Amino acid sequence: MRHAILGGASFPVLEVALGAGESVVSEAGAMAWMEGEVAIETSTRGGVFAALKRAALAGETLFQNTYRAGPAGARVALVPGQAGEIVAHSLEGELLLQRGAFLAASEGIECSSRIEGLKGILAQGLFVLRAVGSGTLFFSGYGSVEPVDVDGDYTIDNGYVVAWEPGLAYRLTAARRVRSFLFSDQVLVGFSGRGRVWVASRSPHSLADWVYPYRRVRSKKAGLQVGGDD
Amino acid sequence: MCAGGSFLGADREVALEARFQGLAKGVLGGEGLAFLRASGTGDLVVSAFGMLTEMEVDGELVVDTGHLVAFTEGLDYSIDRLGGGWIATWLTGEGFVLRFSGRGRVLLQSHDLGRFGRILGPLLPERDA
Repeated sequence: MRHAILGGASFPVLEVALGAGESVVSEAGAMAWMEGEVAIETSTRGGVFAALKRAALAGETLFQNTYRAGPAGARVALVPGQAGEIVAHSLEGELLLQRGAFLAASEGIECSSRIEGLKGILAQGLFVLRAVGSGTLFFSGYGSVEPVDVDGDYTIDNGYVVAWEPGLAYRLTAARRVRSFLFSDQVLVGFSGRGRVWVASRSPHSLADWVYPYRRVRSKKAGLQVGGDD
Repeated sequence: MCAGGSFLGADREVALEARFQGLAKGVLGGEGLAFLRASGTGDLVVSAFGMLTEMEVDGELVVDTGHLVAFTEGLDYSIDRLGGGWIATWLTGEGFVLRFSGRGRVLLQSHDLGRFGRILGPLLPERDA
C-alpha cells in the first residue's frame, strides 16, 4: 500500500494506492472517489451492540469500511469530514485517538473503542478509539495538527485533543467557569507522564459557538428571521 | 455538466440549462443531483469546498455525490449505491455514488459540505421545527 497526502494543510485528501488484494480500513463515509475494482466490506468495531451504544452516546460513526482492491489494484481517495491536516503515523504498538480523529488504517492495525464520560456531561466527554498493531495510521484534526512532547503535566480543552501515546495517563475535569452562553462547563483533559500528544489548532465547539448567533430563529409571530440573540 | 451548487459564473456566450435527475434518481438520499449544463465557447467558473482535483477518466471512476463538481459531456454515468442493497448503503455511510465510464474529465472537490454540516449540527442546540 502506498499513500500520498494531496492538497496542502487546509483541505488535504489521503490518496491510497492499493496493490492486488491489498486493503485499507476507513471511517464510514470517508471515501470521496475511487478508481479500479474495489470490494467494500462493512464491519462494526466490537460488535453491533457496542457500535449502537457508541452511536447513541458519543455520536460516533457506527461502522468502518474495508476497501479491498481487485487483481488489477485500485486507488481510493479518503477525506475527513472537517477541514484539517492529515497525519500519517507509523504505528508500532498502540495509540489513542479522540472521537472523529480516525481517518484510515493499513492492514495490521486493529481498532477498538471506549467512552470516558464525565457524569452528566457525557456528550462533552471523551470518546476514545484505541488503535493497536503495526502499520500506517491516518488521523486528522480541525485546522492544523501539531505534535507536543509532554514531560510532566499538560492540560488541553478536549475539543483540541487529537491523539496521544498510551504512556500518558489522562484525566477529565470540568473547568469551573462557564465556557460560553451556549454550552455547559468546559471539559479539560489533563495528561501526565511522558509521551506525545497531537493537538489541533481549531475546535469544532468554537465554530459552533461562532455560527450559533447566525442561525435562523423561528419568530413567535410568523415565519423565520435571520440572526437574533435568541 | 456542472453540479448545482458548484456553479459560480460564466461568460455571456456560454449557454446554461438546468438538468434535473428526475425525482426517483435525484432526490433519494437527500444528496441533490441537479446539474447545470453549460455549452458554447467561453469561461465557466466553478467553485469548490476545499481543493479542486481534475481526473482524467478512461475506464471507470466512482465518485461520492458530495464530491462532484463538474464533468465533460460524453462520459456515461449511473447513480449507484455502494454495496448494492439499501441496508448496505446505510451501513457504509457513503450514500450515493456516481459511476462514470467512458472517456472524459471529471472535476472533484476534496471536501463534502453535507458531511461537515453533520459534524457541526450536533454541536448546536435544537431549533424549533
